[in-house]
Amino acid sequence: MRCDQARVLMMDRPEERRRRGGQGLAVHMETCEPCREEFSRVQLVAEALGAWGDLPVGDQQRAACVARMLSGGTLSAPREVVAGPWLLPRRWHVALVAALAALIMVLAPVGLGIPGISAEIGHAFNSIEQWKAEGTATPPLLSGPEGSVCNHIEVWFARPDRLHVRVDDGPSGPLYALSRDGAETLSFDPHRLVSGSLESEAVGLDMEGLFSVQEWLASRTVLDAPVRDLGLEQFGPRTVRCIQITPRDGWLGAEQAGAPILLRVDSETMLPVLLETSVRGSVIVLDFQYGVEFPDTTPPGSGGASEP
Amino acid sequence: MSHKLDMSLARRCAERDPAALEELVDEHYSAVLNFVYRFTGVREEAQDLAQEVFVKALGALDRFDGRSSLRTWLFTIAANAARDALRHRRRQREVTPDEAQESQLAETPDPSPDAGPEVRAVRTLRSALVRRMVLQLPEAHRMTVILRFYHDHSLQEIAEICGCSVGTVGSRLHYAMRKLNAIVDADRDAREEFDVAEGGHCS
Repeated sequence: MRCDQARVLMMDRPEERRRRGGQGLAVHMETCEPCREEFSRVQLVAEALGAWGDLPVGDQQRAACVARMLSGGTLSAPREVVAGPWLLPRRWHVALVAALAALIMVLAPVGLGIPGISAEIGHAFNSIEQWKAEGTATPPLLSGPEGSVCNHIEVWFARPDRLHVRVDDGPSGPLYALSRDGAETLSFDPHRLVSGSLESEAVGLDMEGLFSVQEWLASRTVLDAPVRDLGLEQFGPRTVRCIQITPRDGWLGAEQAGAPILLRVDSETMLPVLLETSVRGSVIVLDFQYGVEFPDTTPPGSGGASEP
Repeated sequence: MSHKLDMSLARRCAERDPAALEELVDEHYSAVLNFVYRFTGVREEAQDLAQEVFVKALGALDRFDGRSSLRTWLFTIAANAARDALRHRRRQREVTPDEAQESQLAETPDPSPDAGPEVRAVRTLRSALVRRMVLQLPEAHRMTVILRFYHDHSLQEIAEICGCSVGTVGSRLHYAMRKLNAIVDADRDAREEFDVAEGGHCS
């Protein structure tokens, strides 16, 4: 058995591993140290994934589902009222809420002393109406970020003495964020990586800001960091140029400092495809372009969809 | 559930037998809800979607041929519905994953509610980290991870649900697990910090 076959098999359920891999997998794992390590790592990650628990489901929800089925789907889906972010589809809503939030920040020294503005930890508002009803609304004076593609505003109070405002554009993450005292006004671009910490989203890696790949290859840009062109390689269906970058201090968190970054860009478009680094023997993918498949090393199986 | 029982339940549901519909929902609603929730990241959207999946399934039950299990068949419909919802969301730009919404995390049932506040706080942070990292995976990879590790589907079943080869499922999982390695590192660091700061154990 080859390593690539073993690494697919090790992802399967134990009974499937035994059925499909048989003795071949066991023999391979005994003799292949990298695959053993990989398997151990997979098990650790699988165990860690369990930290995100299931949503509870009540009898009421099940009954609502049955009722909707019996009505032929004509009943509207009853929803539970939960504390949630503001999900506002229109841009003027976004601007309005941004303005309200920004005003609170301007008035923060006074405002935070008013009961109702300092929300409890984890408390969120379902609507502007609820916010108003709780005495926290203020008239809009400022406009939101112009021309942004944001579609989601979230205001929350991470601590009783601290206000955060984030404007997201979906999977790309925060576009715009403000802190309570106004000293920390941050502006984000789409496709910028943000750190995993809710409290330090200012720390990010701006791929556009690092350098322009095209300009660098055309020798029009001199980088202030050592960069080496490692040449072309195949990444799935794409031919990519692999570039090794040694980051400056401050580009990444302390944990990644000093670790070289490998940037793969599409050889034709020069758009970044994959950005990864390696820390303590683990490969950490820093950014990844949607729609790029990991190279498939196994022959296609016979699995077909049984969708109606 | 065996093939024979699946076929019997499907037939009774197709006849709009209320008891059979209840049985179908009792058996599969929770799994479908959690699947679409983890894929879309938005709880309210997931509740709508889960119901929609069952309505669609009911309309198509007469075409259920038993080649796959009823569960796999339902997940195939759920996967398509969830992908469509994300596509629609991208077009409309109306809802985003509420990854930072701590209040939702607080609603997740605690397996040991008697645990102290520090332990519960650490669990909440771990849950938030995992959730964030899973939601950051590309869609195809996220779906395979959810199906494999949250719903214990085999690679063959995932291939059927996603409409791709087993090899593709394997390579997607392989890539996703490399990316999710960071969870283990962060988890270990958090445990070390917690142990140092509190002299406690967070597992």
